[in-house]
Amino acid sequence: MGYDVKIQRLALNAMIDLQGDAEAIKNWIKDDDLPEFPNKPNTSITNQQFKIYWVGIEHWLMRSEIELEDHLLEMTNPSAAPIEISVVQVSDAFKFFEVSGPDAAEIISIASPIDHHLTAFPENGVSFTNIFGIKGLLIRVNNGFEIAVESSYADLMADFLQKANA
Amino acid sequence: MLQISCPFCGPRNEVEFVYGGPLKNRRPDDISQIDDTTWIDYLTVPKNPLGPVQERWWHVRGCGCWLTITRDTRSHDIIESEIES
Ligand SMILES: [Zn+2]
Repeated sequence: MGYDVKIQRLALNAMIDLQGDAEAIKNWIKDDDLPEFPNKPNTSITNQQFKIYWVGIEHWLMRSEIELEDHLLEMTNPSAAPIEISVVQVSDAFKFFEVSGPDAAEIISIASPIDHHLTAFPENGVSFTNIFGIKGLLIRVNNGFEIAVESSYADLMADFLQKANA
Repeated sequence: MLQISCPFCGPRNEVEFVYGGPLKNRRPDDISQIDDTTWIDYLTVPKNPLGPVQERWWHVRGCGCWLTITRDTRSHDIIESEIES
């Protein structure tokens, strides 16, 4: 019984939280290795190595494989960031899950009230939303969705996802 | 259940938000210069009209913005929604 999905916990990712004036942030973080900043709310821009998510008016998240964390830190230099912006390493703060397969959207429909149809949540959609009552980041990926929650909620989220597919 | 349109995120379910109460009048500049009735009115007597009211909602499980919305108490229609600066 259950849906045709695969639910898995993902490995740790490198994450940087950026907040503040967009121009000040773009001036601080300039690197040819980075993709452009997204120009539509709640979307991402991705290149081979890095992802940038626009998740609030003055709020972005940068993400990469954990192996590239040092490179991400070099590019963003959190400890030397100017006073008007906030650059914080948050890699340990998030745990990621992937819900993939033909019925992935069915699980998201149980988990969250967000309209995840392509017309409202596009191919590169990413947004904070309510996921089983918890604030979580929902990301559309190739064959389904990723969910990121604060680390302390990871076991609870794993349990909810399993039950939704029971 | 309300559907609240966030100017950043678009239409979202009420469960993503926390109610922040009615939009209050501006706090009197010098409370030593006003009488008790005016002060008590400011502190404790919310307006409760039949029709449009302005109220604050926090998109806490979304983009994190505070919104001021104008909601018609007769129909629950949200006529206007803007992000607080
Ligand atoms: Zn929002």
